[in-house]
Amino acid sequence: MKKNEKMGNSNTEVKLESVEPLSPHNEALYETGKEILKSSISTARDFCKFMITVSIGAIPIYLGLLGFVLPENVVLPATKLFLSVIPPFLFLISSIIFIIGYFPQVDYFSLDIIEEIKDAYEKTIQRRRKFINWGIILSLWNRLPQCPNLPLFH
Amino acid sequence: MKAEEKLKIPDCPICRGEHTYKLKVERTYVIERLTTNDLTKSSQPASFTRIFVCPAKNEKFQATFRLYQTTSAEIKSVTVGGVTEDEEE
Repeated sequence: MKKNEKMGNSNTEVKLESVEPLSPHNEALYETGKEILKSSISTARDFCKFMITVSIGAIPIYLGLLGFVLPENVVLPATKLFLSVIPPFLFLISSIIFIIGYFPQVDYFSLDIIEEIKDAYEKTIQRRRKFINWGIILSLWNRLPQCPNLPLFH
Repeated sequence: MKAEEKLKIPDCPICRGEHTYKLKVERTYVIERLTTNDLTKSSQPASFTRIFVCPAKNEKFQATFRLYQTTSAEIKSVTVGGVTEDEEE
């Protein structure tokens, strides 16, 4: 079905090219977009929840492994002792960051005003993304004392 | 900069009626020095396909339309803002 129509003056010209029922492909894409839009908030929140468990769980695992790896009756010098407690400390900080990210955001908006809903949605997504990024950076930074250039037990 | 334009669909594929939709067109304006070439330069067409909702049956359909842009006023985004107020009445 092809129709052509011109509206408005030359600067704001809109020319209709075709109108047709939604193609199955575009309909599937539309539904996918809808799903992404609806689930993005809960997905980020679930990820924060998962990372809280991972970060907190990593602390006793790390300390357990440290106790297992260290020979008995070994007293670590102060610098090495300090290096050995950095990872659990960073895991703790990253878990706190994920907890803050998991908190529900307080925002007031009217369902009648689309712009307000859009602003609240974007604010929530950006806030959670910021906390997820920082939490992941700290979790990955935990690998630093374990890298070969920083030997802990030499 | 957002401008509101109107798109008239004379034959809706869902209800066969006529609908007029609001289009929110965002353009990026570039301040450039005007040369003699710019005076003869014509605007370039850009095609967009968007999903519309028939106000009579509340079903979706797609329409392709053409808008014009120049190098100093490029189209950044086009969103459908629903039917016009006259249509809602």
